Amino acid sequence: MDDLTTTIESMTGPSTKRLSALSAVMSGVGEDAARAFRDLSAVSTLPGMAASAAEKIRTTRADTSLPSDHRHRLVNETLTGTNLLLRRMAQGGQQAAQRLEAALVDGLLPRVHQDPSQRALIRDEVRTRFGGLQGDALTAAVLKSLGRDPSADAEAVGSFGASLFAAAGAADQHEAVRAQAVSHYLARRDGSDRQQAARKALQVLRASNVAGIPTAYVQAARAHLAEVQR
Amino acid sequence: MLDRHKALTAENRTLKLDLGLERAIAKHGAKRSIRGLLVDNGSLGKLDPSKDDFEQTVEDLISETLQSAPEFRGPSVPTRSSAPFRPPVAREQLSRSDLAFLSPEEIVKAREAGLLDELLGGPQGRR
Repeated sequence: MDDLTTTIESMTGPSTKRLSALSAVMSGVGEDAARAFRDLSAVSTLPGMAASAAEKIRTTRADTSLPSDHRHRLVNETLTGTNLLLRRMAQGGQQAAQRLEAALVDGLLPRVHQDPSQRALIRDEVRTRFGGLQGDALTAAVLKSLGRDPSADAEAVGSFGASLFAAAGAADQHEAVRAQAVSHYLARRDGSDRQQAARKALQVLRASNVAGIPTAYVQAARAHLAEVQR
Repeated sequence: MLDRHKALTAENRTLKLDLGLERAIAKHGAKRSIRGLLVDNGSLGKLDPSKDDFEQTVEDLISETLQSAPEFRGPSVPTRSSAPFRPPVAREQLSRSDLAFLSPEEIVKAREAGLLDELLGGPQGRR
């Protein structure tokens, strides 16, 4: 094993383990989360892509049957295109990491009631329970009620709750309440199959530095390119 | 099985979208980079290939976009005075602006299919 291979493996090894751990818990999490995970996993191919580009650059440079200008142009095209690909994949990978967490949070939190008439009743209850409260009092009351009625929680942490908080002058606190709800539902053991799968995956995701995964693979890919840019 | 069905449905949607766009782009003589603009301004995401009027909607979108962004018009084609030139059939290549439209997973597939060869300065080993 040469020095570069050792360096690349030390750069990507932890991320490969994290992806593998996540892959093991992605069953049943829903299509949005699965698609985000596939996009996140795709960045693991970057070092290989860059290694191929580096190999092509070496071969092109060594091909003296081609005019020097032509070789130079091909090398530049390969470098420019590969760097563009790396940037786009890095950006897409970071977005995928965020999408994955958002999809798992959506899967973990309870869903609003499917029956519109029932849903209207639940919203009325939420409005009656919290409607007269303002600011911190509203936040405290919603936090205290978390877990008692999942359907009401779904409304409180969703767009209806966001409107309720905005009307009570506490729009900036709604996100914190949603985060508390996520913590609450992460700590529970019950829930639908979808919630249980999302909980398991979210626990693994939060134990990993998922945002660092694309960065690690991009850095490893750049190490391959750096070899031919010296 | 359900996931597979959803994946196929999503793939089908993407293919229909691509086909509709390609037809409209060719019909209106637009540059293929117009796709990047449509991605950036959110128009592409709003298209629904399952609707009956999808083709007309895409054509209208390309036509309207060309009016507001004429720089995406392709070069005018000179009047032909002889038999048509038939270029060798080449594998379709994706452009830089197309990359903005693709997810990381799609980029990997496109590279494996050789659709990024031109962008990468020629074919490469598929590691």
